[in-house]
Amino acid sequence: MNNIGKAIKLDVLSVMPYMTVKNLVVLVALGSFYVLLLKTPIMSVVMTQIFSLMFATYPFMVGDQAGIDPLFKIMGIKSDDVVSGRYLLAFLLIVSMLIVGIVMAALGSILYPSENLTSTLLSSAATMFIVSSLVVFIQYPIFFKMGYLKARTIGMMPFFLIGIAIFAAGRLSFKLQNLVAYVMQHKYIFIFALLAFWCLAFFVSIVLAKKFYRQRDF
Amino acid sequence: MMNKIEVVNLNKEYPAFQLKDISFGIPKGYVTGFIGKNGAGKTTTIKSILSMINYKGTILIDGKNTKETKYHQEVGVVMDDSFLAKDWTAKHVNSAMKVGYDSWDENRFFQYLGEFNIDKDLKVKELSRGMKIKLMLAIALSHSAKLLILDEPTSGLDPSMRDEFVGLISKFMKEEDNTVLFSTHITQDLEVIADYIVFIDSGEIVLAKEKDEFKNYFMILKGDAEYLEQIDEAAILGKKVGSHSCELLVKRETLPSVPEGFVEDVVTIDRIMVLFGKAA
Repeated sequence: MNNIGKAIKLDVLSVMPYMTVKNLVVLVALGSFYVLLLKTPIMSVVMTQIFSLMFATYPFMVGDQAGIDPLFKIMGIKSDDVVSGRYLLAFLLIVSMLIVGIVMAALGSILYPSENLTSTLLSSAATMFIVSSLVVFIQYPIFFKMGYLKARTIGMMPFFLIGIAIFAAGRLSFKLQNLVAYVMQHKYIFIFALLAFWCLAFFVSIVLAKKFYRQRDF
Repeated sequence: MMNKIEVVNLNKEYPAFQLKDISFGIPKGYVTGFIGKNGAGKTTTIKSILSMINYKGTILIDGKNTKETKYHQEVGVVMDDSFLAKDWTAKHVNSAMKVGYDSWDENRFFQYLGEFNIDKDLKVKELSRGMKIKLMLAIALSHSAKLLILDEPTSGLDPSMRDEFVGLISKFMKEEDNTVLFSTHITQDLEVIADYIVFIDSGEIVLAKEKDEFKNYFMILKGDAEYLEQIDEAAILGKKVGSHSCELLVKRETLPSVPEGFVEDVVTIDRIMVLFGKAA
């Protein structure tokens, strides 16, 4: 097994004791609650993504509390492999929780049928994937530099930015409608620009995370 | 003699402490005691050897630079802290080690747990310090390690546990090529098992020698405080002066014979550490 694979498996093992049935019940209950409250099955996709982002911070949390980072070093797993492994695990978590969210949304659609369910679900899943991964891209370098406990507050920054973006979108709804219309006219350019931005954000994030983690002493 | 570990011009700087260009070797096939007071630089040196911290200098294991070679698989480590997730049970630990070590022997691991009376269902956080150390030792001995690096493993253990621990190290040393680096400030353990001693003080290596040579390098003198003035201050490496008596640590070769008013006392590693650098 290569070292990235080892790092992922060790991360999974380290968070395993916290992946309890209670967590699953809370996830399903909250997802269902918001679907019922807002009468839209898409809410379950949003809820599962919030959980995936929470789970994505667990390896840092356990690492900080148990001082588990030195274990990677003792086993000869290089810092860069730990970082790559953790980004891969975050993607796996985001994708698997998206699948859970989509399944829950499909079940929710029995109560609240929608005409374009498939296309709405797919576009929502794609948007949520991009938003969630961008949150990871901001959080991870900070966690790798400072550790989870010290960076917990700063790590909330992406959610603060999302809040501002939602607020701004509400205030500028008229201009936003024009923007959406413009985007729809130039759909492919927009998708290309978004993908390019995502790749750039990923590259900058992982390069910074590797640099920061290499500099840390344990 | 071939060195298992070669530390060359190692430097590490912290705001309040510095390893100052230290160099020494750890002979292959022997137990080397790494001694020094708390804060002398033992753990920093060991962490450098294990690549747990960034440093300047060169560290070779079996002649290969640690920054360019994979050497961790054959190193067993017992440190002050366990580095295991607090909510792991022995079964989780076994799964994690199976992932991390290519030659992990789970039968041997569980056999050690049985020998050490460690309950497999207890979480790491529920184990006593002594049990955690034993768990780490069980890990260190279950992946065919050729080199054991032990950082203060016996501090906090009761005498019977310490004796048991020393016994296990002796058993490990029955394999001809196995090597142990044993850092401690409890020097009684080293009197029993160490072949070589490396002495570090304030981030500098004071002396690295075979154990008997190491002890023979020093002389401990006890005598009346009024005779203290007749000894050249430069020859004194440390002293403890009471109202009437005094105890001195000197370099043996600086004194041709025991000075008048003094008697030579038995040199122990413990007394060397206590007296070295002491000003009064």
